[in-house]
Amino acid sequence: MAVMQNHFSLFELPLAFDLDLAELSRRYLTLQKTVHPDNFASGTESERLQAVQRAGQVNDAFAILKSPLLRAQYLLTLNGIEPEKNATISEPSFLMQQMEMRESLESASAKEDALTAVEDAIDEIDDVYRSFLNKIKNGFAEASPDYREINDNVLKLQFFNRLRNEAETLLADLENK
Amino acid sequence: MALLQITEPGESTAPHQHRLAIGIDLGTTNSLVAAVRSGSTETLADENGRHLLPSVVRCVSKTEIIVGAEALAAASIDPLNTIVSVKRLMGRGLSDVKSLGAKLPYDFEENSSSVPLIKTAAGVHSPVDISAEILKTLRLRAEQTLGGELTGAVITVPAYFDEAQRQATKDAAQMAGLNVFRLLNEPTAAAVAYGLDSGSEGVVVIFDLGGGTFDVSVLRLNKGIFEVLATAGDSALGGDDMDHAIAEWMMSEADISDDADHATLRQLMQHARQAKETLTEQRSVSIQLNIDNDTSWQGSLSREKMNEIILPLIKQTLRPCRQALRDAGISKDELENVVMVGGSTRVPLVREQVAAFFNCEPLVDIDPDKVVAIGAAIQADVLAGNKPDDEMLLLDVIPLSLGLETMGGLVEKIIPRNTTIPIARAQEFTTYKDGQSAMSVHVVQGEREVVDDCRSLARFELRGIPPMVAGSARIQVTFQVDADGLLNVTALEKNSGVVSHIEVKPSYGLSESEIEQMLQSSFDHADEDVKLRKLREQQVEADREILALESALADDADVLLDEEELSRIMAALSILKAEREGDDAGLIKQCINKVEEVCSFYVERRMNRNIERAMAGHNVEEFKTNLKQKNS
Repeated sequence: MAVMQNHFSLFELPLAFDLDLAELSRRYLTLQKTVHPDNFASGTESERLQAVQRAGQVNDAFAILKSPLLRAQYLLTLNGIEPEKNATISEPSFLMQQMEMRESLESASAKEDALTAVEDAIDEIDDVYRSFLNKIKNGFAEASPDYREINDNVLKLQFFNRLRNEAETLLADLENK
Repeated sequence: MALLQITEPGESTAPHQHRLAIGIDLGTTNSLVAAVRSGSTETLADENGRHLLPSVVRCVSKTEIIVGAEALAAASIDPLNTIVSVKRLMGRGLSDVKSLGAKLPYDFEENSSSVPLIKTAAGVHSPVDISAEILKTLRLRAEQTLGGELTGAVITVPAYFDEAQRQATKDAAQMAGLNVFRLLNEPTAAAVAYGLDSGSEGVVVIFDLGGGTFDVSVLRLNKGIFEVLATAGDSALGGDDMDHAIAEWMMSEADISDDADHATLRQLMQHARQAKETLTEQRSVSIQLNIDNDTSWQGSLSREKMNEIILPLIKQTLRPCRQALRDAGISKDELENVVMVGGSTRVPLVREQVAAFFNCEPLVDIDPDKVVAIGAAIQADVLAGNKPDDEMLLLDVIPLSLGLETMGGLVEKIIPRNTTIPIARAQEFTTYKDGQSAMSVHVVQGEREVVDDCRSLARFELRGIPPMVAGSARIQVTFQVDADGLLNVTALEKNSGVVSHIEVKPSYGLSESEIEQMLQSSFDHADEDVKLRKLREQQVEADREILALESALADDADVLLDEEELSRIMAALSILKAEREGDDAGLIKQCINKVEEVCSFYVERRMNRNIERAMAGHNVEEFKTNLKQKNS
């Protein structure tokens, strides 16, 4: 029986951070072709209800697994580390780094060629984002992962993710002016 | 007990018969109905050969309702009783409608209902029952042309419609006597028609500018899979607004004041629209207005001047285009094609601006008026089960984020925009007082952080929470959005397992009882006995249940059910079959529910088996590919 233990087993994929996204996507489509409510348009009420629920589960699992940040958080949860809602990081070097990047984004938007400057700032954020993502990936790959340390890096990744979203909004506002 | 005839696997229980299904494009300006007939998909014409049905309803009297071209012709002589562009009012509140203000020449009833009600010679009508009249006209046209009863319909809605607007559309379809297979997003419908026609693969943009709504969707097309990556738009922007802008220019040129009578305003709108349409082909147009018996105005409008007037409106479409591309994570150079849909994309300036923005020449070779209805008909045909081997899969998204009101009037997002649907997300709440037994939840839709800037969808009252110390109740509220983009909420207290009762109060919708009342007092209730209709509905529902269950049993009862389980199901089924022949709609409904209940474990087993099979097939395919790669 296909008991939905976790998002990975739903896709019959190994429980790991490093994931073949193309394969995930193929399996996702295979599952959706089977459970999507459109397959049951002429079916019974309970079939349609089941289909909506199953298709919802599949979509939810896919959304989590395809995003590196959400996938990392999900793996931590499976390993007993619940994400804290208002967690803060008190590491001085990190605080400096995030302050500097925030300032550089703000000054970029005030520049004459703001569009290019903000785009450059986004590239910079992406670089830092990727470096933390690598740390997380390596952390999970270890024989006995240090989940506390990974969680620390996930919190940092989360911060840069937020900063990136803010930068994108800024860019959109500039473009629409 | 009559035993079910178990057929051999692969042998169908009944000879396959083509089920009649239609697609309806319920537009702001015009509506269309299409169907798949002997393999080809086409829009259906009325007895005068006209395909487009103007979305205009004239309420002459309680017994006379006119829909379409004849109603449109009377728009300026009978403005108060002739409802045009009713789609703009769907799912809206009275206050929204007032902000559209002077532009709407109707008498609204000042009442307590959240839904705007229009006073006409045929009584008071809501946008939902006006729309139902348009849908009913199309349903009758389809039944006559196709020669039989319809199994179901796919109705299209703008992708950017919020939940209230979708629900209103579905209510209208049900009032018109249609079984709604699905609400389908207009750009997705266009992509289906376009994609299946051209066999195109890759990422496409559908730019859909209609009479009153604008949508832009970014889709990935791949072997019958239509995956919407992102959608954006404006549910109150379209050709109507261009007409308004041109009419305003005429008013200032002709010195007509803003408080001119309804008939003059209607006349202005019609002239504006004609001028716009003429300027699609010509460089300039002359306009003759007869304001009253002794005043008239004559002038001319060049295409350049019109472009200047409408440019700000067209520029407004580019912002959603940018947003959709960004949300999809797609850059302009990755696009395979940009497809133009909707009558307003005929305006040359729209084409120019879109071409300049996307840096590619948009495709305009498919009829922008018909493509949405055709796509809807193709899907209706698939959903009716006429193409059992079809591999089509439509994966759509929710256009606007769903959120909850939190402390201080802020919004906490539960389901972000552009999440693939169906989707369910749960949120846990707790009580803040000892013994608290109820709690209210306010659901909103939109991107803003403050509740007042978002669209209020509904307020839910959770009742029957078992008495507990403050903070110890764990109430899990699940928000489920189905494939139509409609919301369903359930709540569960996790410690006790008590399912809370939820009372839904839609902010801008009709309650069940209001719909019931409208059905009762609908225009032609004289010739349609409500009771008989209800019975018929339940019989259809029962037939559907019986057919679906029997074909499922024939398929896999032998492997999935033991003798005791099968006989339990058969017992419930035979009671349903017996009651179906009776005349008690309520009893039939009860029997259907009973069958559903008895079968729920079976449905779940079947679903699991299908998943196992699909994944196994997948693994075999993968194994083969791997083998091939190794051998080569």
